[in-house]
Amino acid sequence: MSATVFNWMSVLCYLVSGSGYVGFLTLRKPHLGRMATGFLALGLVIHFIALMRRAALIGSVPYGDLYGSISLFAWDLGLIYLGLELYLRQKSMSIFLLPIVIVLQAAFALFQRVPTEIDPWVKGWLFALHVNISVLAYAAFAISFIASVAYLIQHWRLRTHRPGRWSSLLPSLDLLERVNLTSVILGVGALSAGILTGVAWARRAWSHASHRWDAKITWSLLVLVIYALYIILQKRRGWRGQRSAWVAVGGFLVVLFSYTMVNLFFSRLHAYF
Amino acid sequence: MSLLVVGLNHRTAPIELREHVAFAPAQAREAIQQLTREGVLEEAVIVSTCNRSEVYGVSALERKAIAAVQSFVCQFHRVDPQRLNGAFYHYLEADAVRHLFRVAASLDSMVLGEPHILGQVRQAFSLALECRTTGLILNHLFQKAAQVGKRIRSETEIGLRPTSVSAVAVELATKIFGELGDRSVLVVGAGQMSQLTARGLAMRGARHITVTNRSFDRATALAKQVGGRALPWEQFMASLKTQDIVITSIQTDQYIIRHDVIEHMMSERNHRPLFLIDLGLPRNIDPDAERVYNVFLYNLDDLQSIAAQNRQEREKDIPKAERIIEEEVQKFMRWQESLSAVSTIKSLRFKAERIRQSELEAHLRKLGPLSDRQRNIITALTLAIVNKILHEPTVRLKQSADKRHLESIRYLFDLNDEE
Repeated sequence: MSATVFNWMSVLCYLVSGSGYVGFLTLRKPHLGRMATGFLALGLVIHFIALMRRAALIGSVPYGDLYGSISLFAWDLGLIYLGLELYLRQKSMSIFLLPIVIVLQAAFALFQRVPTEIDPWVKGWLFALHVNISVLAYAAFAISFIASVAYLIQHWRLRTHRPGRWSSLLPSLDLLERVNLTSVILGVGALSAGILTGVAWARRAWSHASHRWDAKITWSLLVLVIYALYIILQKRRGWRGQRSAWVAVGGFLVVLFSYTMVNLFFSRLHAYF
Repeated sequence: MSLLVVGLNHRTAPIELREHVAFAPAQAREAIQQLTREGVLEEAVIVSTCNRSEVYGVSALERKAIAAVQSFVCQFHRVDPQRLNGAFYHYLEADAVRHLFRVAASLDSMVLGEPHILGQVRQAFSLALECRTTGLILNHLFQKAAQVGKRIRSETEIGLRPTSVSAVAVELATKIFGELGDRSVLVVGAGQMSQLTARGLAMRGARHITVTNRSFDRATALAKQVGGRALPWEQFMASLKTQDIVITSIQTDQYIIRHDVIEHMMSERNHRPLFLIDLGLPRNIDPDAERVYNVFLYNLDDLQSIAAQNRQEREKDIPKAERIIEEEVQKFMRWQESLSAVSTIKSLRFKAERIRQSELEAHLRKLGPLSDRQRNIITALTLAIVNKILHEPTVRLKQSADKRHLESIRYLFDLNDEE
């Protein structure tokens, strides 16, 4: 079977899973929840096969172009979410997450072209490590973003004395805060490692000095600073809770900017991430 | 044979009357044994809670059993039947099934969706099982009732969100703090509502509960009840900053906790979230405290209006629950119907006939060209064998009153899908 078939099969699994989650959360049928988790896991397996197929087709890493990196990002996102769901026994964040995974993977399946020409330097274990770690960091930041939004909604409902359906659906403030902090720490660690491996790889790949610095590094450092600030503020008086959740939201907006605008207009070396 | 229920509940009888005819477990044991021994009922289960006393039974006396059970209950509790006039209700067959399902699903409870009734129904059934006063029908009925109750709890929002002030407060606490194990709770004043709330928090895992009151003795008494420790009134302001949840219910005409105190305290405790539950009337906590960062302040009105809203939400799901119940009642009635001798014989013969025809066809094809006479003889042969074999079971099933035989036949011949 071609990679395209696997791509669409994974999208289909995510769609079924997503509607299962919505059904579970609104109709409260336990088997729908189990089905949703099952289809998410199945989708991730098929998605992984699709990535491997693509790699075989290209004869290189499957994320050597923008589409491939989007697909890898969606896969990381789904995987981290699944881990969180099983660990916390909490399915309610799926309603924020699955739409993102579905849109990304569907866009990939729809628009992807298998690159005919591969840059010769897009090879080697250091490059693979650099990309995988960096994408993992972005996925962790996305999870932190979702937890922050959920936190802000829960906080707003509780403060306005109208808990209602939203409040009973979403996890506790305490839990959301911990999910947020955990994923930010994971993200900061991964991004730091990503920057280091990136620099090391660049030194190997090019001897030319002008290739040593890139706008992407500046932006990534900014992202690091914001999230480091988040970690520090978490423990600070007057900042824990709602205010630091906004900082995490801000951090993710910078990540999005760095992912899109910086790649397109400012960076010479980072076409895709 | 008919399935019936006779009983009274909070809608038909006042508490004074319900008290008189309530069955404690030992009494229920005695009563169901008597009922079955004396032949009033073939099978019997008594469901008795503070809101209802109900006798479920299967009886050959049909409608006469209703009056018999009623007078049995009066005699058993030595109550003048005149007093219970109009308090008894009864349902037969599908209506009785529906009634039990509604009871188990807590649709018939005083507080819609309250969680205890399902356990009480289960207990009533296991008591009857122990006493061997149940049989094929009530076993199936009560197992189904437990399933229906569970199904409605999981598929509808009846019983989902709390409808009492204390339960709403506990729910909010878990939405703010998650696990309550390591959170500190301070109860200021020993009112009944704060007592209920503190007990609810303790049930959800809160281990550090402190109680303070103007009278130290009352504080000590309440602390003992909720498994906490008592604190002298003079010290409670100082202990505020170490608390996560504070419940107040003091008779006072001025705020006992002012907003600037909260503000100061929050900065001392690093702005960890603080949940203030003001159950006092007039209010005990300055409402401005709500504006302080990470403070969640709820007063009695807030909690009551959430409770009322949740109650409405529960009521919205009643039609959905009723639909589920109707579906399950139909299923139960079909099962019971299948136990009748006529339908079992019909299914058995239908199955045999189907096998005969398909086998006959297949073998005639193998034999090749035959004369009409030969063909007729073979057909008659198959008919004769099937009829001879089925004759005895048919006659015996018609004669037997024992439903277990029907059940066995249905099981052995796998008749449950046959129409």
